[in-house]
Amino acid sequence: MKLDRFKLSLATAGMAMLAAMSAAPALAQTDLPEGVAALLEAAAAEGTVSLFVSTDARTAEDEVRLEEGIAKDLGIAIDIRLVSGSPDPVYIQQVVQQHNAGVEAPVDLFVTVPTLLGILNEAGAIAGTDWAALDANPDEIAEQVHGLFVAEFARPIFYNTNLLSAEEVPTSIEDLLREEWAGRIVTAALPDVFSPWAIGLGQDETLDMVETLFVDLRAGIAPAPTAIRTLVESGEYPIGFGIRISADQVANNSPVAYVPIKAPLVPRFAGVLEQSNNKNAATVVAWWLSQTEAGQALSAEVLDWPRHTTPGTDLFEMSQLTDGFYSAPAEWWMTTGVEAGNAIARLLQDI
Amino acid sequence: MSYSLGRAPAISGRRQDPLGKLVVVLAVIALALLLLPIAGLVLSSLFSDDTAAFGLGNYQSIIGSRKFVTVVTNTAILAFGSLAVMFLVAIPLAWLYARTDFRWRGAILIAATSQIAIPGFLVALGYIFLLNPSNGLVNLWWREVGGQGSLINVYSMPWIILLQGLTMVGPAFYFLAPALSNVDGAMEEAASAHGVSKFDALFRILLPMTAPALISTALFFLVISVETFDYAGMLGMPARIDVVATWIYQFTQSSMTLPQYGHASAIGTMTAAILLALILVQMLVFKRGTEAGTIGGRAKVASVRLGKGAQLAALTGFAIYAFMGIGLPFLMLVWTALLPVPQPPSLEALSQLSLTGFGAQFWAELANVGGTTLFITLFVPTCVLLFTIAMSWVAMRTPTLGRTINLVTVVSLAVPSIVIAVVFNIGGLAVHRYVPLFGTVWLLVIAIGTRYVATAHRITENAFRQLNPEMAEYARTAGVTSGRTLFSIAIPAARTGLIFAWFWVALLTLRELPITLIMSNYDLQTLASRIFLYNSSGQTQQSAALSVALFAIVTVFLAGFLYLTRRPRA
Amino acid sequence: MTAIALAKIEKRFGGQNGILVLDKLDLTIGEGESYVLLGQSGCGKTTTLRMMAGLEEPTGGEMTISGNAVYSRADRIWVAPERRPIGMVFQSYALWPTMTVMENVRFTLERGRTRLARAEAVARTRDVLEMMQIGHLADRRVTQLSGGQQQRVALARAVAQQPRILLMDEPLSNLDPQLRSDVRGEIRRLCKNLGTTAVIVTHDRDDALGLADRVGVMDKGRILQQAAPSDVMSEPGSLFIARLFGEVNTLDGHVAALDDGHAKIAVASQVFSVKRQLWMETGQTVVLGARPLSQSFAENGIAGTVAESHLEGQMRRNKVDVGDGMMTIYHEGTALPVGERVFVATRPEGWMVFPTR
Repeated sequence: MKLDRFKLSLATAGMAMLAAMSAAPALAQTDLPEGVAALLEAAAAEGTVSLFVSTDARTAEDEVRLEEGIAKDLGIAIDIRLVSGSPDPVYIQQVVQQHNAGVEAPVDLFVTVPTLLGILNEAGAIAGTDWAALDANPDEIAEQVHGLFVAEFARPIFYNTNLLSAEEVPTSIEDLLREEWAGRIVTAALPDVFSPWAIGLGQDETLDMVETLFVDLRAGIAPAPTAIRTLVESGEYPIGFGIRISADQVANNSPVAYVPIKAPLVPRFAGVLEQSNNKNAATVVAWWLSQTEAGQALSAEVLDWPRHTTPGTDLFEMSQLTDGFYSAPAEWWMTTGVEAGNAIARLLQDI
Repeated sequence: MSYSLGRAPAISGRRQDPLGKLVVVLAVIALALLLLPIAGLVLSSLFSDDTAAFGLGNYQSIIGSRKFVTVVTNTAILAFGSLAVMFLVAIPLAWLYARTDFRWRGAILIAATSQIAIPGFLVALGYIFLLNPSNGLVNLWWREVGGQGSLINVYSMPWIILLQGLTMVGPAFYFLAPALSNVDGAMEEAASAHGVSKFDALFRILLPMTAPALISTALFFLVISVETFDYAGMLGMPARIDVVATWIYQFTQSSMTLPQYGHASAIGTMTAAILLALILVQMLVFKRGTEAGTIGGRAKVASVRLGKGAQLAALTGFAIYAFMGIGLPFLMLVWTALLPVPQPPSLEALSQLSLTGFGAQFWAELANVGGTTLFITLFVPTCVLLFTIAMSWVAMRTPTLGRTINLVTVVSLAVPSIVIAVVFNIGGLAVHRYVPLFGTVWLLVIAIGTRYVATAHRITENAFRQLNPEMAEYARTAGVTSGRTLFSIAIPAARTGLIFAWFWVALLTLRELPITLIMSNYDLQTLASRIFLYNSSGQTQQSAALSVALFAIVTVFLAGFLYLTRRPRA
Repeated sequence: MTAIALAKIEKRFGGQNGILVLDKLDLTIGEGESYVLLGQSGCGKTTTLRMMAGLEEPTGGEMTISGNAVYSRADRIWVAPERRPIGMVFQSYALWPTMTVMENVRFTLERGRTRLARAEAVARTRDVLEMMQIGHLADRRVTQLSGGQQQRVALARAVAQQPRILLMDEPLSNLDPQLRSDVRGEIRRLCKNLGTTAVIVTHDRDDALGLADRVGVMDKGRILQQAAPSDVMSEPGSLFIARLFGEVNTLDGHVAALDDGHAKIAVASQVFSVKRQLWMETGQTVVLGARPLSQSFAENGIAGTVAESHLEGQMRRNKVDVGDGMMTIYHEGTALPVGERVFVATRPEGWMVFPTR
């Protein structure tokens, strides 16, 4: 169930602020699912949620925008703390250690790829949240890891518009793997850049693609996926493989655009940590980010966690360009995806 | 003469020496802190990443890898190559500084010091803009004048060697200048009196005399060059030049599966083992390391006078080094801070220059991380200095223990930072119930401190070794306690070296990355970790702007250091 | 009474089977005595001194100071230098460069064995500095002093605690010759005036002669001879010792005949009469030696030709080739032409005889 946009537009910022400051149920709450409404009082009492945002720097301003959005929609004041740190796997390992040591969780809410959420869950670090009770979209619940779908990232292909015209760019993987692009593609040598492609291409074809890219086409290797952006934007390589164009690049009208080749999506799921002291608030915030239009929009805008279905995001535009994406349910990621990742990792260690 | 001798009691009673005991306790704690990560490294290398079984599985899979021989060969080439570059630049600089009347001697000291502060990835980025084969400025110009292909390719082993070697010149200068300045100036005067050229005097007399210092400097920087990721990562990976540093990185940098610490540790352990072997060989060859002291101290008269031509040649050489090693990277930093997204210099880029990177967000960040950053930058070097002073002092008084201490400190250099962070986090969690250190700045301080004990120990030890041992021996015969001798006599006398050790650790702490990142949390962030996170989320402008702030802080420290260690007026 | 006694002291460097530096050394020094250990570098004299100070630990034997055991291997006794009643002067002086003259002495008194209160320490420092005639330098940094002044500070610092035993390691070696003679006299006077026991290590004959009540000549970790300096000088126990005290001209010969109190030593075709020694046997090969000052050019004697002749101080120093080797002979007057035939005469009491090794 979604919030009525019309009603939302009626609510003024001032009213939202008033609502945020009072503990009394606000106007908008009447439209909330029962399960959510039931949590609000406890959530407001907890009053704070720490959310892990990977290695990305976020600012106090970003936090305020989310807080205002939550106050407006849910009528409660939650102090949002956006925690960034080491890469997800390293951080998760730490969270597991902390969980085992019985130390309070460093964050309340974790949003990450299914495999890693699975690792947390296996360690018993994820609370068994009943997302269905909150009327969450059943397609967006990953029950086996107690996760709720929040956002997705893609492993698309993009190019430098100063160096190539829209007519020149390849339009399919076969096109891309032609000799003419030899030495002109840059990517990163990490299994995660390629394993999502197994959704659309299957594992064998993906392995072939990697082999061709690295061996035949002598693709350049960036030290990190984010470096691919800089290398293409600066014109050093005309084509980049494996990362989205950044919001800053969009804002600055950087000379980069997506190649019209259908790309795979990697979902991110939210999980509430078992050792959190703010489970109710964390549950409500996750629900809001995932299931409300405003939450989705701010998630894309502020946290750079878009969904390809949210208009205005680069993924939405790309899905128009490429006729959608390859995507797979959480189950696939926990099984086939892991297998594909391992196969690619072995290949990358050899070539 | 009313004065007479012989009134002293035959044998005095034992004296309490609480300071001396404290020093021993500190040294033991330091040793334990160093051994912990080493043990962690070895232990984690023995648990298979794939099956969690105990054994040599990780080693087997590393050695059995098809890349193994290539990686080892490349690493050796890179390590020895960059060492050669380092010596090639640092020895002349140190010689100019320590032995000659070169007019820009002060500038050498400033350049070498500020070079320590420039992050390697920025140096690499600057050179990529300048020299990459597709659109590097130099290659664009080359094609404009009718050249074919690219003139220079920065993604190649020679350039990695050159740039990495250049980066090590700054710190190496601090090891070499004191070694050279300790040699009696009469050596060169004798040489010049016999018509031996200045260069023959340098290469045939001075350098052989300082060979032990040169070799131990080489060993130290060998570890650094094997460990450094910046150049191998940014310039080597695109060209598929695999070395140990990038290999370790690949094993710990997956974004969807857990890091393979076991493999990374196995590589680290093997590196440490090779290093250990080299040190043992060095110990055998030079039974007594004749290390030299520190910069500053007593003023020495230049023993080599440079003619007009030589002055000019020296200035030219120095200017090239200063531009390549410091000027260009710094310009790059400022350039990036003024642009919304990083791009090579062009008219279009010029039109985009702005100060938005230094806006409200910049100041908010500084206010946010300033306290923690300043605290660790002042506190870590102070603790490290106390520990290394204790270790050096105990090592001097008990030579057998000294050898152990020296061995452990050097081997600890080979433990990857990421392993140190993980080990101390696990340790912090283990004792959390009794001592709630985990997640606090204190655990961060301990981990970073441990990382830099080895670096500081070298300097502290040299500073102490330079002291006349009879000064402390006299104190003993006069009945002064060990602790009192250390604090009232040895520390004041070795002051310059100790200040330098403090300063260097402060600089390293300021820019320390893997540990601060792993141990950071919402309330615990440092300038360096924020710079990394901004860079990671693609906000390079903010990242570079904060780097400029970092550089400004370094400048303040630098000024303080130069002030504290200034030469006394003649 | 005995100030310091070493019994069968042994020192090895580098473990049980390491290099033997001192070999069962016995040495007794009386209270108030000035004892000089004389020897070439590496003979073990500095090691001996450092063991007395407690800076080195012996590997065997016993040592007492004023009758108290400070080391015993058997009883596992070891007294650290901090607790011994000693004052020490090092070859490098080992002054603390960050302190002034006053502070160097005062720190010793306040923080060393004596632990004097500030006022008392200052007063005593002033006394000692006055005594050493460096009171006016009290506030100078030690790095600003001349070598001789630094030497006095080191001495002042060592005696300020009123030690029972003053240990000095090559105390004069860093001074130029003129100053050296002056300071030598001062140290001698100081020790005698204060009545302290002093142990001095040196490789210099003049130091030994000028400072010692008794000299111990050391070589290879053993004491070869110990006696009053004049006795060692006039009756050295071996050619080695004789040479430590100055140049010796030597001739190889053998004992031709022995009678009451005299011995005839044959060298080539000549025979020299010398005082008979207990160890002599007829037919034994010996080395006959004489100091240049007991020899001179004469009408007859040992024949030789002048190889070299140059001025040294007031005298001419000549090298004379006597067929068997070179002799150094001094004379007053003009230079002798090279190649001139000369004869060398020796005062009969000037001959020293040593068994050939």
